Amino acid sequence: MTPTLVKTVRATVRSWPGVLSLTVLLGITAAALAAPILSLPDPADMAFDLYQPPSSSFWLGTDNFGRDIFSRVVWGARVALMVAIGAALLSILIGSALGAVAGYFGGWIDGLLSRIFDIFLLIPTFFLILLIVALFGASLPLTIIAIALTTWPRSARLMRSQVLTLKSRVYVQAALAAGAPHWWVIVRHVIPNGIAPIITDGTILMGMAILTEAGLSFLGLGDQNMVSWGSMIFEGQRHLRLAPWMSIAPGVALLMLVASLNLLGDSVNFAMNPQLRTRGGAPKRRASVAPPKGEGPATEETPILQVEDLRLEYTVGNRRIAAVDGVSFSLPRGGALGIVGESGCGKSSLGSALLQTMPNNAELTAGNVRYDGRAIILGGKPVVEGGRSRIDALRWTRIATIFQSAMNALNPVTTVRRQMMDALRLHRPGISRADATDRISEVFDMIGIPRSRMNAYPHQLSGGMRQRAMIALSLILEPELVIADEPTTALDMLIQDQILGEIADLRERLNLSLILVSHDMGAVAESCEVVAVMYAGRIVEIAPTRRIFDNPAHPYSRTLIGALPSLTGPLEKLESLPATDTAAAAAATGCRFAHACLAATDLCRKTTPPAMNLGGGHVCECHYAEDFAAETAADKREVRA
Amino acid sequence: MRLLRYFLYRVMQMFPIALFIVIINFALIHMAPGDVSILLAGEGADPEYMASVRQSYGLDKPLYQQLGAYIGQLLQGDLGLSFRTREPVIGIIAERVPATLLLAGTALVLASVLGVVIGSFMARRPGSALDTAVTTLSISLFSIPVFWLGLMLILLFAVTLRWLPSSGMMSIAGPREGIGFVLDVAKHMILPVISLSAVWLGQYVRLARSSVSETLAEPYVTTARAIGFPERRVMTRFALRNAMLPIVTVLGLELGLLLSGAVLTETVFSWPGLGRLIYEAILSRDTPVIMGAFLIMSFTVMLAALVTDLLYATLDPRVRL
Amino acid sequence: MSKPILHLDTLRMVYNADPGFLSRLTGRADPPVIAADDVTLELHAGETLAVVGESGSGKTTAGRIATLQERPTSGGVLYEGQEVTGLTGAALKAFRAKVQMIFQNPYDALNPRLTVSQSLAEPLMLHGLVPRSGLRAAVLEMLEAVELRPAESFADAFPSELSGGQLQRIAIARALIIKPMVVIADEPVSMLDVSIRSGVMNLMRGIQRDTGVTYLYITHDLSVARYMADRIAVMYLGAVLEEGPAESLISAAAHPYTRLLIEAAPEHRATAVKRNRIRLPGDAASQSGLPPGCRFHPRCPLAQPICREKAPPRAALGGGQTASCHFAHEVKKTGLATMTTA
Repeated sequence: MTPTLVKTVRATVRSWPGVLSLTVLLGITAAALAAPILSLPDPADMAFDLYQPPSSSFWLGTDNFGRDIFSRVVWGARVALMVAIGAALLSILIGSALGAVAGYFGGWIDGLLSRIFDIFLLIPTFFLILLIVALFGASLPLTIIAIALTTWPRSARLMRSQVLTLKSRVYVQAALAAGAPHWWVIVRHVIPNGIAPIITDGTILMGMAILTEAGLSFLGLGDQNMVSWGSMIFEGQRHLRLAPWMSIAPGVALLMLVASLNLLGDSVNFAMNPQLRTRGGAPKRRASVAPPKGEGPATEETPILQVEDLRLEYTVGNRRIAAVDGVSFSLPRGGALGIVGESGCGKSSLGSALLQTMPNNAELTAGNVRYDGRAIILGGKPVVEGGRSRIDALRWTRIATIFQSAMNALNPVTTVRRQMMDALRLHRPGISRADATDRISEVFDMIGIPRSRMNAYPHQLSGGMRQRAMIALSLILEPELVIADEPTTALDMLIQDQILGEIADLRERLNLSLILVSHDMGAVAESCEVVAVMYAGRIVEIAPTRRIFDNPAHPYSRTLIGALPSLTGPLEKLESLPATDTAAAAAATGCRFAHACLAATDLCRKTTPPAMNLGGGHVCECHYAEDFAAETAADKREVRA
Repeated sequence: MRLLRYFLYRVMQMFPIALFIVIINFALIHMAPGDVSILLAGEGADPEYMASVRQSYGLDKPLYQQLGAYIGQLLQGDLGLSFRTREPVIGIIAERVPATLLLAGTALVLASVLGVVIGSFMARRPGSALDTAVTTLSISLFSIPVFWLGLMLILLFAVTLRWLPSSGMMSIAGPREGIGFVLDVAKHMILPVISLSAVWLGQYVRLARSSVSETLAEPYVTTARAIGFPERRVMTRFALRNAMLPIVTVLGLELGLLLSGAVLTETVFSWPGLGRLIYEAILSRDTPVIMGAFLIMSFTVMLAALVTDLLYATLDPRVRL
Repeated sequence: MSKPILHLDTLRMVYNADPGFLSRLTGRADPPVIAADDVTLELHAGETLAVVGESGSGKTTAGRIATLQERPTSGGVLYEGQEVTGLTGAALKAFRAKVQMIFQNPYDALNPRLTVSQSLAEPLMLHGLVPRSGLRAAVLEMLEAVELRPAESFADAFPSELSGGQLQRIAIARALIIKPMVVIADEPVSMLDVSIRSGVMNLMRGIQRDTGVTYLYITHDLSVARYMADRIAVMYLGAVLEEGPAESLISAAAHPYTRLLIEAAPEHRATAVKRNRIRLPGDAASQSGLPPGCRFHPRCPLAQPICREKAPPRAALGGGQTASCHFAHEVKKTGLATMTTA
């Protein structure tokens, strides 16, 4: 059992729909299996007790021939399960074999099979089954085959798409490159990893098969030699007024079996992809606070953004993860701060906390944020003034953002111009169409997007142009502060350089304040005056840019800088960290970098280091910051000498 | 103009599918036990008609010529004669189409509109107790056999409470024109529409719920919130607009299933539509009518798929026109 | 110079060359994509050749052809002077034992249903190099070699329990466990964090020092190429624009594109002087329609009339450096200052 399988089973059994459906399924299956050995009356036995309502001797009553309905329902379960298992199994076997062949080998086989899948999608399959059964005579095996004949394309499509993704998976490519024959790759890598959704879908197929068989029986096309729930309802319909229990019992049985199959499929699906259940949603209402009294007016010297001890926690299952764990900094008006760190250090969470756009499972647990001297977050709670959140009043008119991967950050079904227009008119309701168009053109010119591309949809633009459009959108309302989260990631080098150039230009021209969140030390080095290095949710070092690159005092910053190969400088052996988990570090006591730090002492492992002020705006959270600062300076001198 | 070209391209793609459906029909007739001419003409047809059927379908010629003759007959709109009434099948079917369209169309609109509204409401609070409950409830809804739900509704509202009529499309002695007629039909429609749409409501709630919650997690929704759009506009303009794409696709693709549900519903409520016709045809082994109905249903679904495609193309600029 | 161990000879690779009948009829055919147009690369035993390029430059295609995961539309692959382009069956398997591949995405590198030791044993089993009883020992030895200690606990772990850096080390171990002569590494560190990345790069260099394996190192990052490679080839739109020894290529690039790449690389070590950015005409390149003349001319700040008309020949610049530019000699001497007045 792989860990994933264990997790899936556990999560399924833990959700109440999962437990409920499994219990019902097991109950019905047990009853169906045990039907011959239970001392039930023969379901076909006619008696003189016609139309008996449910009683202690006839649990579910009797029908128009005096047959015991409870016994017939139990025997009917056998037919239902036979249909379900038979049709689903047949459908999955045929479908996944053909789907796997089509997906794996591609070419004309794939073309042909895909066509057939498409055709079956368009055929009203119930009528086809009906036609087959009507022409060939009603019998259970034929019904099962007819159902499978119309459902196999569903399994095949699913398998094909699974195989198509699996085929490009690295481990499949690697096995092929290692010289593995195709059958080996299919048996060992493709099928085991692709089968899960097909089995899950099997429960849905089973439900569909049962309902189809019941529908056929209800139309009088059921197997006359078998007790089927559908034909019981078919008979009950004619006696609805006299003996409603004749139709109620088999219908309830049908509903319970099909619903538990569907519910089980659903629970397993959610257990495999837990984010399906909780992702998205509207922002939840959070507790807010009133503005503090006695906020003085802002002066030229007031920092545009002041952050104190900000904390953000995610709740994942039962765990709480502190992604931002006490961050403080302040950004002077017109300044540029770079926040660098590696994946999972909390830099993007910090960005979302500042904008208050974090997902619903994230919570600010502490900290204050002041914009231009006015609190927008106090004690982790948004400040509300006059019924409106203060951040809402600042959005886009004063604080704007540039998101990474503009492909997804722009609405794909609206033109770029339209999106700018909407933002403009939202915040300046009175603006005339002509003025708005002028403003949009102006921003496009400024950012270097040809006007001919104004009416393009995001997907019609190249990656670089799209990122430019995102920047244009952020500048449309002349904000004072721009928070850019990885604005150049995933762009090609030349384009990346151009975009960084545009941002630097604009900053100068528009006197923008900038927070640049990035994993790219080089990009930050060139665009920002101050750089903060984040590790495991904290800013471990912050200093003016040249200072931090020439004279880093934190061992982590030193490793980060030493790990970057130089293009034009001397070739030195790169430094690196052991390949361990940063998440583990956050939980440890003492310095959170101690587990990976070559210079760590017992002091580091026991005591959390204080923020050491090294002067000139250089602050570092390391017990030995002063030593390291002195040492690196000395080293530098040696190199220069 | 580009939309027109796209339309023509899609129409051209439909031809092989239509051909395939016709061939399935043809193959089934020939594979079925019994004499082909009897299947086509109906049991107990008079020898003269039997001979004319043999003649027009070329039943004494090789198979491929028979297929050609069969397609030729279809192209002329000739689906044969009903063996029960001796009327042309095409006419019998055409007569029944409006009633089915009325029932299925009303149920489709009701279920999809309600489904999208409830689904997107649930998507606002994914994972909440209400969401889980509604999800479970919708799964149960579409697990109900539609004909059984119809019976239960009749039992409750027609038999026990006597509020609503249990069968037919209009009262026997009711008005045949004006507002009175409309109200009479509407009254007869309530139960069949409820049973048909209830089952599909479950499907659409789930579909809308997952589709909308998926889009609400997209980065462009975060952008919209950062820009400061009020949540209601984020929902309509950004989330719903994008979530409609998969919803429209599934709506189009599942029309065939909806029609099969309509057949079963019509049977329960004696609704004088195609479904009722098929049911009667099955009871009297009227194969020409069953085959004709299958063909007509198939072409209806194909047409619906075409309309869906065009709708999708207008909704999503990313579709290459 | 000695004979190359692996030689890619004027490779050309075109996708979608032949659209279907219906697509052609309705004019909806996808345009053909020229993934590789004219790629010639020579790999010498024990050396590292880095191939640098942006997305769409054809560097990955070149790597996939070098391992025969794909067959070129035209051109050939030679291994130790032998034509191997069309190999199948046992001969192909023998070639695969000699030429291995490391892929970009470590998170996807291992079958999630197999333990690390099962994944690592797979190539050994396929090539029958080690008896079944010796598999475990060979796996543990390899884990030690890629510095995953304690090897025992890593061997029995599932991929989902490991970090990106650890996974990529295992992927490297899998490629090297059958002791290949050549390893094609396609951006092996680009998805890893900086501090982890350097460790993997150092590991690869160390292994090369110990075993003498030959690398074809594919990357988008010139500074990584410089760190890893003896020689660098710069690709753009399916062709090699410049090639040469790493140091001379970076200190005296002869192609304007190489020059621009060097200038565009953000340099944290440089002093605070703001670089002058040249606003480039044109946008990112498209693979579906190659421009006439020099393929780089639409974006080249030095483009002259001749560049629009005539494809430049490959100019030899001495010391093993070549560049496909009409003005290669001038650019090598004076850089992007060349002809700016023209």
